[in-house]
Amino acid sequence: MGSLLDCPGLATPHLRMRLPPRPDAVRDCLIRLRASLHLMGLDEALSNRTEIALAEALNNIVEHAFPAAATGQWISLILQVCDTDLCLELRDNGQPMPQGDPARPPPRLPEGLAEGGYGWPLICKLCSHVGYDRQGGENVLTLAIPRTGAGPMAC
Amino acid sequence: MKLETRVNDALVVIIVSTARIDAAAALDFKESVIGQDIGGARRVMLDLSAVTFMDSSGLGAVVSLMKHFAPGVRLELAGLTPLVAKVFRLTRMDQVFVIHDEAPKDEAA
Repeated sequence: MGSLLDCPGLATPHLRMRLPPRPDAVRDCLIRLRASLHLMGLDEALSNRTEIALAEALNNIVEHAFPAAATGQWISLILQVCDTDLCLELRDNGQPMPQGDPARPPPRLPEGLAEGGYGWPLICKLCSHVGYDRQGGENVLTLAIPRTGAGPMAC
Repeated sequence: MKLETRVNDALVVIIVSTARIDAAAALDFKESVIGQDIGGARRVMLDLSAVTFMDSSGLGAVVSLMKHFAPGVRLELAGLTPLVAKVFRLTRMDQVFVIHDEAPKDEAA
């Protein structure tokens, strides 16, 4: 059902990464992730969807959870390939998300020719599950990306 | 950011050789394109065939460029790689921009 906890077990391939909340670190992370997805044998379309969704999630964390740079800031990520979905869990020790749940109300694409505001709608169009929780001073964002590219989207 | 510009009559083709137009690169990308001499061209085409990744920041920069050139000059796009095409489809920006499979070949070459 999209949560990492629902993904059965140790046999499924997974990877873990940790990065500082900076745009250049996000780029390096995505490049390394892409190489790992290729080694895992994921097809290009799924890898593309994963890279787009993860980029937007990481960009949002960098921008909103860490408005000011300080020492000791981190983002961690776990990616797990499950039966129907590719599941991601992102944790960070930044500020809590103001609304508490990115999926409500459903973000919409901006009207007209806006120069921003495309990030969350992109995540919602790519993911069947988007979850947010605050646990012990950490933000926990969970995403599930359907492996087939079909199915009901999160919002 | 390194760009190459090719002029064909009323069309200027700007070849973007950067692989990733992301949050770290979007501003430099936008300012570099604006800094190109387009003469009296009425159409500017961004050749994105070397761009393998674009996020919403990059998309925002492209939208910003379209507004920068309008109304006198139309910004068109060419050579979208699969990931970039997906971003344009999902945000419905493929309905907004004139998108070509590939940029016209340089006749002088």
